[in-house]
Amino acid sequence: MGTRVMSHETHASLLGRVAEGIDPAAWTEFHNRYAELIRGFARRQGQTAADCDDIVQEVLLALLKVMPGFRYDPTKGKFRSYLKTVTVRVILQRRRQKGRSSVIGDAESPLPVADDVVDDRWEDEWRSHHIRHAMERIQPEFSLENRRAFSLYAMQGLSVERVADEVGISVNQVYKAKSRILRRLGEVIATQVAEEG
Amino acid sequence: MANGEQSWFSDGEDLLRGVRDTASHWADLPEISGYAELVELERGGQGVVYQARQCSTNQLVAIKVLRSGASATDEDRFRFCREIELVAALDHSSIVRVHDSGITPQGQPFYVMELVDGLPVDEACEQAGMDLAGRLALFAAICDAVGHAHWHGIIHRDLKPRNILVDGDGHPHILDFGLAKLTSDRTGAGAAALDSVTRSGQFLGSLAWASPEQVERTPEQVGLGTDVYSLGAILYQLLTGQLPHGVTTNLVEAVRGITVAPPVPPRSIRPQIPTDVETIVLRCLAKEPGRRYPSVGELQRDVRRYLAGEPIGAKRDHTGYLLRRAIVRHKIVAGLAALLLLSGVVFLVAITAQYRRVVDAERSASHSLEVATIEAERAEVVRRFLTRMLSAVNPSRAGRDVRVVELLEQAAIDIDVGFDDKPIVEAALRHCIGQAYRSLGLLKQASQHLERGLSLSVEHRGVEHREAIQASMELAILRAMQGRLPEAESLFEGAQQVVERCVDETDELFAATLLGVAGLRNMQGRLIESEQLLRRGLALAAEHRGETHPDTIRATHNLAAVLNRMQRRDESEVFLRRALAQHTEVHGPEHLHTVRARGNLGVLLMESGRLDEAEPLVVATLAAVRKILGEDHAETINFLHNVAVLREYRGEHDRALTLARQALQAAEKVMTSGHLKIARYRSHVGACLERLGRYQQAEQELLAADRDLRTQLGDGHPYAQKSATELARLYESWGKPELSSRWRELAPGASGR
Repeated sequence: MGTRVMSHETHASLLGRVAEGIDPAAWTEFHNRYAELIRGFARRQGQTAADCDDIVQEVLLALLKVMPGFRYDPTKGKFRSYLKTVTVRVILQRRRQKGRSSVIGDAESPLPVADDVVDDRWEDEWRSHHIRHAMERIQPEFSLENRRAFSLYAMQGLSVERVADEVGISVNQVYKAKSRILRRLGEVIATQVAEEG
Repeated sequence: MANGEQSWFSDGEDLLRGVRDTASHWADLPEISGYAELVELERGGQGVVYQARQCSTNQLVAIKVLRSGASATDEDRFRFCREIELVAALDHSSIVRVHDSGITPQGQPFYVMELVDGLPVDEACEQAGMDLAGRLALFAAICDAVGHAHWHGIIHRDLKPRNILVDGDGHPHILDFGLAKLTSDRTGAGAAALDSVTRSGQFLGSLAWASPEQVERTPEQVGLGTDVYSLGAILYQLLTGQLPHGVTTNLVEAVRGITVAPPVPPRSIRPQIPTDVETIVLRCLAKEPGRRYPSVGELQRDVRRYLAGEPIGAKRDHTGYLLRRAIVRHKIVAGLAALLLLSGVVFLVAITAQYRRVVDAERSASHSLEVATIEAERAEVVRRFLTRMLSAVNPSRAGRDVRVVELLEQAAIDIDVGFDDKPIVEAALRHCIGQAYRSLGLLKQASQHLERGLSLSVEHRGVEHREAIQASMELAILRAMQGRLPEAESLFEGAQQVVERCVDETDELFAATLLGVAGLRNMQGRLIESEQLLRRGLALAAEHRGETHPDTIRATHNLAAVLNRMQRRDESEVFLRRALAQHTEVHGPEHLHTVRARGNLGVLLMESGRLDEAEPLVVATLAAVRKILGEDHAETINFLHNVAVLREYRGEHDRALTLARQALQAAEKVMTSGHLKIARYRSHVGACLERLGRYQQAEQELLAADRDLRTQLGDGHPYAQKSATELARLYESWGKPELSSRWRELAPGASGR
């Protein structure tokens, strides 16, 4: 921990390192990057918090099996569609297993959802995932004051005066913080999406 | 989707909407009262680390909020708080301090620690361009911290460069001590290490430094040696710039690498690494925990020896060998009749101590003439008594076979005739003689003296006098040994009440009482209470009496026993090895206390399934105890039972049965009928018969044992549950499923064996 921040590298090289399998840190990074996405999606698909942990594990283990030798080839489709396919499959398997093992309690399990709903949910989660990672990535680039100003003003919707007062910077600086952070977020997400393919 | 993809993050408003919907952690900071200005530092498998300002001190701190949250049960939270309490007690400049902990309003456990500005140890070494000696010195400093934590019974379990930060002054800081456990085996004792680590993705990140026992899903073997292994992997990395087993792409292969393949010798990567240093690294990386350095302290000493230009110890004999040699030596010594005299010496030491106490009292009590007179008189009486007794040991008169028992009998006669007018002196001596009889396993005689001593003390000193308190505790211990638990309980409780009212916490008697009650709670199966009492007693004894005081060692030893019964084997092993080291240091390797600790370590290893390591210890202990205490002593019988269990685990059912029967017969001979132990041994005989397919006889023994255990201990006691499990197993093998399931219901918590 310390004041050191997690290193951020491009997705393509991260996938490359994971595929080569030399570096355990690559897997940790990979896990950190995708666990929340998978967890969030599973949650939206009606899984319990405890089940979500298991789903994350299963999806990553499934990836672990195929990643070695994985060569990114844009013509074969997007990584994120692939990840979605694996995650959806794991959740379905799990649901089926649960259906077998328990007789009661089925009433609470969510009905199967239409594919396009699944797609929308996945897209939502996927956007959140990129936003989260972009925010992590740019964190070291902005001062605490700027981040707090952004958080209070842009995200929580407090008035600009109140934010300026609370953070102890000028109103102008609050506006500036918002626009600078937002612009930088957009840039970083654009890179991430391009890298991911 | 393709079009939306282009626009959503390039349009400020769309992006902002997304940011708000994401409820990102930027806005979604946990509320932790007493801390402000939270900024996220790092997000990992275990949880999120924030930087924050502690309001009370205005200092910057780091707060780790663990992921578990909503799915955590109350028990998880209780465990979390208990672990944190243990970790927070660590005080070492290289262990990152835990200042505070709690649960957020959202239900997530968190802990607060000092904020370290540093680099992971591997990067720090590279950046500073450190030479070999520098790296080794830094490594030794890391070992020092890990050793300190081990001394307090805390194993790190997840040592890796990311958890060891080196600050600008080159000082290491180890993070997350003992905390890997909190997020890893959430499901409790049975969870396999691998499952648990993969769950949070930690495994993947820690694989390179994980020990064979961790990746092999044998969590019961995770112990001190686990940290030794990880330290070895770190040292390997610091020296060669590589990992001992390049982590392959395939999980199965990676596991095989760690568990089977020998590491690439460091010198084949960098020939300039000295051979001694390579030896040190490779010894840490041994696959079997038993072949690594037995402690981090040993490892550190070798590193320091190397740095000082001295020969290292790793090339010398391994502990196992030394131990075997000690046992051989022991046999030679034991061959002499000296052993009985050895117990005699214990007795004499007790008497002499009593005498010395009296003399001391004589000096310090000079302010009161009356007291002085009484004490001087006592001193004189004890001196005469001692002289007479010692003259009885004159070998030319009695031959070399003066038995302690005879000595005691003589003393008992003396005391019966000579002390009518000096009740206080008589009480003290009866106390001594009673204890001596007790330690010889002659409980009936012990009982006579301790009872008489207690009543004299109470009558002439009053119940609140420390001698009376001591006397009632000694009698309570005896009653517990006799299996008369209700009597023991009321004696202990009486003593405890008086102690809490009249005795200061720093007093020896206070800790001794806690330890006594803890022993009783252990026997009653009230293990959590026992653990709490022992930990408190241990802390008090260590603080006020020192690390090598008998009470400190006893507390350490007993804590290990209780933890073992709670299936917390890795923690147990830590305390047990510590007690063994302390006993060896204080009493030497052949003393009964040392022998006993070694035997218990054998039992622990046996129950952990480490039979090869356990066997020499358990077998040698039986031989040693037999020679020291004789065939008919309760402890000898107990170790006989242990060897029987070992044989059973080994699948040598015939030998197991023979030994189990011997233990039962011996117990029936020396213990009063209905004694708890008899029932336990009978139950084991039944179990052995079951393994051999002799179901009818097995049923007879098991049912008889079960009846006794249940009457005395109640249905909830672990022994009663274990007995029910055995019966369920019997009926299952016998093809009587209805009976089997009926017994199974009586053993809800019990597992397999």
